[in-house]
Amino acid sequence: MTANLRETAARLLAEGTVQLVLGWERGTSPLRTTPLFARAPGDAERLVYDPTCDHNLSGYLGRLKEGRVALVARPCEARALVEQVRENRIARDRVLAIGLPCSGMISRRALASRLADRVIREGRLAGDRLVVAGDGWQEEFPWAEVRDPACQGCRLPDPGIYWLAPEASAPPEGDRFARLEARSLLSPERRREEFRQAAERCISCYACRQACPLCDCAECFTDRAAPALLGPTADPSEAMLFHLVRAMHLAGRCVDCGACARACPVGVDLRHLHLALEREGAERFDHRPGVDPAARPLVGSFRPEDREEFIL
Amino acid sequence: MNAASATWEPKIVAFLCHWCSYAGADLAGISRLQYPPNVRVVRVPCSGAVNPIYILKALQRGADGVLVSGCHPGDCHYLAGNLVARRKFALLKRLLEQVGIEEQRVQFSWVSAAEGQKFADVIRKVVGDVKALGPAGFLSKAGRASCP
Repeated sequence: MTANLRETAARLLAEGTVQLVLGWERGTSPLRTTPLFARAPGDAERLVYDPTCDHNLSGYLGRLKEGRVALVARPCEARALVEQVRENRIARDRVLAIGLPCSGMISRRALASRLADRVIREGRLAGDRLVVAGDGWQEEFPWAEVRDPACQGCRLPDPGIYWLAPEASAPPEGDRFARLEARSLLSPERRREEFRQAAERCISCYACRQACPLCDCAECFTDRAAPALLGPTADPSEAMLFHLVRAMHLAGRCVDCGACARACPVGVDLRHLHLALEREGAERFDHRPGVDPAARPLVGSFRPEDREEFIL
Repeated sequence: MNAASATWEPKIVAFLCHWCSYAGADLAGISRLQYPPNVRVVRVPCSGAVNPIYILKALQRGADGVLVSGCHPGDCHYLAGNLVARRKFALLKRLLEQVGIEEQRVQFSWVSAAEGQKFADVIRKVVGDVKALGPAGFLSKAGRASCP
């Protein structure tokens, strides 16, 4: 697949069809990749594609100066692309989406918890097993065990907006909203405690915002000085406000790629907030993010018949 | 200020739309209707102008409950501000539920300029609900739980 991708990218650049191919290349540490901005046919040789490609590349699209770009797109990138086109952040005809099948991304956190403090020197995926090795040790894990939980229940519709369509990939089993079902049993006290702990751990680095393909306001509310909506203190309430407002801003837009949780340096995973809003949007307002580039926004539009049983 | 204190009274911040609910509150006053004095009114142009962060910020700065009130559907001065707000509030409710903030802390109502009695009733209900829940505190910022 990688050879095919490199060849396609080199051809697109050589022919001048696109001025840039956006993909991934090997990172400097094992099992790490980094975004690649290929501008010359020769750069395409560095492209790679495997489950360690865990950045969502669509986030770059809005700021590119090139006239036409090719985006190496899994369904996660493709859904984010749909949202960006829907919001007029990039013109659809500027992007060629090179579709690739996806079987889920690696969870470094799940892997690290299995390795304790051992340092990985080398890692590769062999069939359905992940083989990692360090100084004097080697270990194998079934792929399903170290796959990102975001991907375990991926049943997201593929928007199918590819220029080069992927070969069909078997969608992973599971129900995406199952996590919410389990949470529905938690008491309010338990939920508050969970959220408080997440907020206490959060260091307000905004890596989640930076990694998110759709958190791309020109000026984020967190950075605004007048009015200063978030204070300069380390009080956990500031982090709580940040995460709640971010969830509201992503309501009806979040495509559930999991980039935020993977980017977090302290292991905060609040994807259930986004998921709860996605489910509410689907059930109550018949809205599905990342599918239809002509859809009306969830927040900011209405139907006269929207239910209002909660209003006094 | 703690829940054990027998004299504790909840602080409610009410965002009222200029065209309906604020006038409704005015009518309640002109009509000499009695309602609990726990509410601090903030006049806004439209319920659609109420950014969810205003609500969260109120809770952070020491409010125990928040009420947002606007025109009935179809009566919005800006035609559809309240309909946009309705969706936003439905989503916000779901979000607050996820983090365990009690449903009655943040409430919404439609009160027209002619509904002074309804305004008094809504305030009575919201104050009663929040009083039963006790002080909020969850989102509040340490040492800054003091809106006047």
